[in-house]
Amino acid sequence: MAVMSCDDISKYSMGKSGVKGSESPSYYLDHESGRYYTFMEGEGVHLGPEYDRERGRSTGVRRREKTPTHGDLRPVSMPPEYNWMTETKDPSMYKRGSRDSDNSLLRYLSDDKILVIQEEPEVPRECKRDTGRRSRKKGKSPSSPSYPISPSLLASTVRLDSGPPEGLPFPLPESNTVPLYHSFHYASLRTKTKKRTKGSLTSGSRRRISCKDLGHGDCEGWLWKKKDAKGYFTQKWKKYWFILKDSSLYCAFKACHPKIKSFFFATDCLEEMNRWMNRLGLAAIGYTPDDKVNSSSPFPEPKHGRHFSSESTYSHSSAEDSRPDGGPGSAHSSGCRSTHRERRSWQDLIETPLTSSGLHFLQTVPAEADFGGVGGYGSMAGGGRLAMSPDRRRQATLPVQRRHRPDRDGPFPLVESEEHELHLHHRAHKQRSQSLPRNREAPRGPKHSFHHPAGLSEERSEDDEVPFRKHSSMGREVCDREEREFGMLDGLQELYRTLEQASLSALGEPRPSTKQDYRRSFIKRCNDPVINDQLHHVRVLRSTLKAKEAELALINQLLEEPNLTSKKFREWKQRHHELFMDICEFGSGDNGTADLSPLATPLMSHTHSFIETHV
Amino acid sequence: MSYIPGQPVTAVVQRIEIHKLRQGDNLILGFSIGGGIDQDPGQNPFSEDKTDKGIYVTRVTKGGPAEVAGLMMGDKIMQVNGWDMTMVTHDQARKRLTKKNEDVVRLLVTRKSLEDAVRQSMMQ
Repeated sequence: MAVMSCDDISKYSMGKSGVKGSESPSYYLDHESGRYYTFMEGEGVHLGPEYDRERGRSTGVRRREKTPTHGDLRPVSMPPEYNWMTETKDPSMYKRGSRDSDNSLLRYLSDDKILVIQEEPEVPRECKRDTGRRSRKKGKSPSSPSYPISPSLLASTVRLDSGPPEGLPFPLPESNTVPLYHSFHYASLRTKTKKRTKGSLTSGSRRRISCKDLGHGDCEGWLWKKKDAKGYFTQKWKKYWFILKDSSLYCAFKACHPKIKSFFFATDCLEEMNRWMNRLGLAAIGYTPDDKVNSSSPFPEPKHGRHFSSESTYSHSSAEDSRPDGGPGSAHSSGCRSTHRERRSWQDLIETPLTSSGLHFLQTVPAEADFGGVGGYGSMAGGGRLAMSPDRRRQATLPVQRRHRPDRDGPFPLVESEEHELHLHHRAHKQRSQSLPRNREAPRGPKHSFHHPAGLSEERSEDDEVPFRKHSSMGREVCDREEREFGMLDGLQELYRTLEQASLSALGEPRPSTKQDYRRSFIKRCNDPVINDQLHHVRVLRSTLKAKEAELALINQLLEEPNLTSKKFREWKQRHHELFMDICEFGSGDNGTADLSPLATPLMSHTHSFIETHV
Repeated sequence: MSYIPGQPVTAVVQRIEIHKLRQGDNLILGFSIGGGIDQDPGQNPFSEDKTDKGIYVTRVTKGGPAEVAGLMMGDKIMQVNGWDMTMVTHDQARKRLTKKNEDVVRLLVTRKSLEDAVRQSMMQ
């Protein structure tokens, strides 16, 4: 049987791994079971069918190769032996059913695999779970998508030996006394490890990388991972060892619930929390070194599969604060255990200069270009720059797919101002004519900013902005008037409060948004699914637009060539093969159809409808 | 020249032997092709069946080797040196025609006039 699996594995691995000579049968099981395993967890995890697509994409998307370094043993507490969790199943072994066979194979394979990572007293709990897993045939919870725990959640890569499983390196954990730490280290999709683990890895294991092989991770440590059995409503926290390396999160843990798509983590101490938050955030954005911009992608973009969106909904008050649009793969960090601590840590995090993606949305700069159009305002007008209203900021705080726009801060304000200056002026005039009293505006402000109906956010923001702008541009006037009307103290207070609402400084200059603002915006956004959807849609549209514009530029580069020869065209075709194929397909596919999808860009209209090649 | 996918194709063909002409570093045949399974068949002005994704001759340079050999515009190339050309991509077709180590290409081409001629002769 072992041989069979190996054969299968090799058969599939070659076809699917795509890794250079990799023997990692990443998908061998997929074929067998129709499921995809992204994670290797205690019981193995299988992805649901929806991962098929992503898996297919994964090969293209896969970017980073993880090259685990054989570093020294980390001074981490790891039990010396651990069990490879294999989600592969060996159909030949057990015909009981997918789950059972999975489990049995797990057990079978686990016997063979020994990852001697570290020596360490494991958590007795782990051992127990493992035992339980073994004993229970149905150990693996109903197969469900694995966690997209790593930034590049996709069918993960596997690194394992495709040799026949060796003998039992270590005894099965019969009892709790044996400190077995079953650590399953699996790489994310991004990390394709071509190295074989030192231990015995059967071909069935996927994505197993020994801790040793990982070398020194960027961030390691114990993390409590919340385990919430679906349907049980119980929340249990399990402590696992996590290693963050190279924007992939490896975790050694035992059981998991494949269905859970969000991950909740907690740490024992504040510093750890901070550290992890920063690191995870950075990993999620792939180290995009953008000061102000956050690039975590909380929502599932088809292109990118699942992302480890480390947007943490910092505890509002509920431990599991999952955003409605979290979608698959969104990881939430919430310190359920200590809410207060979390708040504090969140505060700290926010204040840290490091802008990790996880904190993005809270720290999103107003100049989030993506929402420039949506928000409407936030642009400057005339001399008085109008900062975004809280509402707009809320939109802006949405983590955005940053892949296409590494730098937004610069262009955004200018563009915005150009676009919206006119609007603002108009509005301003109108408002002025109406001579809105300031005290009326002020209460309006907060109300508007906080109770925006989803659809009218734009308009409202404008409304918000205008009175504020009025303030800003005529701050002093208003102030004076206020003084006259309401007395100095009240007037100033009102003014100041209104300015705060508009995020303006005392002089009407735009003030950098505070964390509170971001937080508020984010909270508002979280609580309003409609807005979330809209914002997502906007984001999607924007990124699509940007991609299409890039393609258009490419095509123009060819078309505007003065001396276009067939040779040059061929070169261009080869260079941009994918684009060319898209064009061909688009052109031929849409010949009969008159309607183009709204997202289809006009540039896809085939310019070379009938290609002739001179021979 | 209609065809049913999966069914054998029968056609009246003419053998055309083109001797490539050396022009500097290139060997040219003196005609242009269009079509291919990766192309849009509806755009092919020469095909009778607008779903035909075969390789068609779209241009023949005057005095070139192809014209000399008898190739005509609108011909559908069925084979090149024995290689099938009815189910190839555009680029594959080009490659099969422009092999540098081949000085001669022997094509099997078909055209409507051929079929008509044969049919006429059969009816008489």
